[in-house]
Amino acid sequence: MSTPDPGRRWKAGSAAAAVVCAAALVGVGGWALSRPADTAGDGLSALTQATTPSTTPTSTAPGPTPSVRATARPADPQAVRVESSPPPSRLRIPDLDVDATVRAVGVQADGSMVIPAAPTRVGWYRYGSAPADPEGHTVIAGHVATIEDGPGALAPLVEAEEGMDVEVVDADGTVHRYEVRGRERISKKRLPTDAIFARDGAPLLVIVTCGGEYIPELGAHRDNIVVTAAPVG
Amino acid sequence: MRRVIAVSAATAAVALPLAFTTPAAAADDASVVVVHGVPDLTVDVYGSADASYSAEELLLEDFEPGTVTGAVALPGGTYNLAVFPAGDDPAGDPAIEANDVEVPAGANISVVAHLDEGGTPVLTPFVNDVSPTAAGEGRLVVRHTAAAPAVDILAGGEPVFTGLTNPNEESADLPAGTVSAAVALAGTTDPVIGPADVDVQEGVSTIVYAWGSADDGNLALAVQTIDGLHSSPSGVPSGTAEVPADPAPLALTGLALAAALAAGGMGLRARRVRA
Repeated sequence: MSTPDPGRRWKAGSAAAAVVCAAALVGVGGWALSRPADTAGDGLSALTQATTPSTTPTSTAPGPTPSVRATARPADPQAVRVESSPPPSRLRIPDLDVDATVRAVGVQADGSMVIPAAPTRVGWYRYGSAPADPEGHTVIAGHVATIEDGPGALAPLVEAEEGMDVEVVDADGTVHRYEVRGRERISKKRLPTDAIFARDGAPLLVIVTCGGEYIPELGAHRDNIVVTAAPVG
Repeated sequence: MRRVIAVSAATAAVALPLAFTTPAAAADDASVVVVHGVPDLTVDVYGSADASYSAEELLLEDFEPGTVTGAVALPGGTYNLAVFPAGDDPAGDPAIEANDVEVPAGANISVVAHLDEGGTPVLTPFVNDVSPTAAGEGRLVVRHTAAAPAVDILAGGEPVFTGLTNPNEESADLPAGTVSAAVALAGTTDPVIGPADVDVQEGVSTIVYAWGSADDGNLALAVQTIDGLHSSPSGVPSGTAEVPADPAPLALTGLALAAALAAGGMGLRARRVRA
């Protein structure tokens, strides 16, 4: 009998298929394990760290008599014009292949932040702090995806991890470097807007997009993904 | 010559019910700014808790027309304020005097030295509205503190506040931006001041004073700003569609199922062949 035992061949085939099955299951398990957690780093706690209450730098009078000296400045309309810091023009997170054009945005009629319609662009909240400002939060937000254009520049934000490098380039070419401090998925209803948009306290970059469950009836996600990054160097 | 004008706070713009005759601790100080809108008069300003003024009570020295002080924190209480020509002995008669100016604890007040409609120097305290502005908006306040009749305030050539008289104010919250502001006599659109570009910054109250004298042809604008009134946006609506699902887990699960079926099938076949 020169023909090999067919039973043995089938048995070998079965074993090979079982190995493939096991490998695929390991793959699924690995994928599940590699999913980013809801929170990375210190979550949102950087938002409220080192925020000093904003007090007008004035002298205080201890007694009933106003024993304080005031100083005057010219008050014609030109003299009170304020120079503002350059707006950011580019956002990069190399580890996540994020490289997006930034444009200055304000608020919509309903009071929420304007988000650039094209998801490949992100918006900087122009009324808040800029990267060059000595204090306050620079807030940059973008669509995670839109029906018209698909995934947005910030779709990978959900995978941001503590320690990742972030760069913001100002319109004047200055590069500001940051390091991710934390990430958190938080219900839009509980979004701490005052902490996110704080204009005082230590400088911080706050990047926001959407995430969590998508609710088709609302055409919106249930949650926001918020990443904090502190300046380095 | 020097005239003594006494302004009782009861008749002035400050009419809040709080009156602390003994000022409390600095916990809830009032914030006070002084605005100088009397033309051609450089002055020293004194503040006192009683009727006499001494060198220690000097609040402001060599205060020039068209300037505004920074905010000074004062304990709530009742103050007497006096304006002397720069360098004059405060024991003498002041050029302008305001007695019993109530400075409520925690209030934000602008005390303006200016001319009344007839051209007499007076001190008028204004209580500033420091309630929060909506996200994206700033507050524009216009105060008539000039020796001039009723005026209209024009923005971009169109009247926005009409019939404003000395010493009154009008205000509106506007989208942040630059307003081309001008002042015209009531019922006219021919500017007597301006037009001048006024920045209405987001979260800031921009207070514009029309000061000077129409008769002397020295009407001008002075601007004071109060920042920190901003509100946060209500939310970040950053997604209108679902991110396409990652195909990897579905493909792997399919492969695992197919392989499991194959393994089972081939195993059965092996047993049958052997039998």
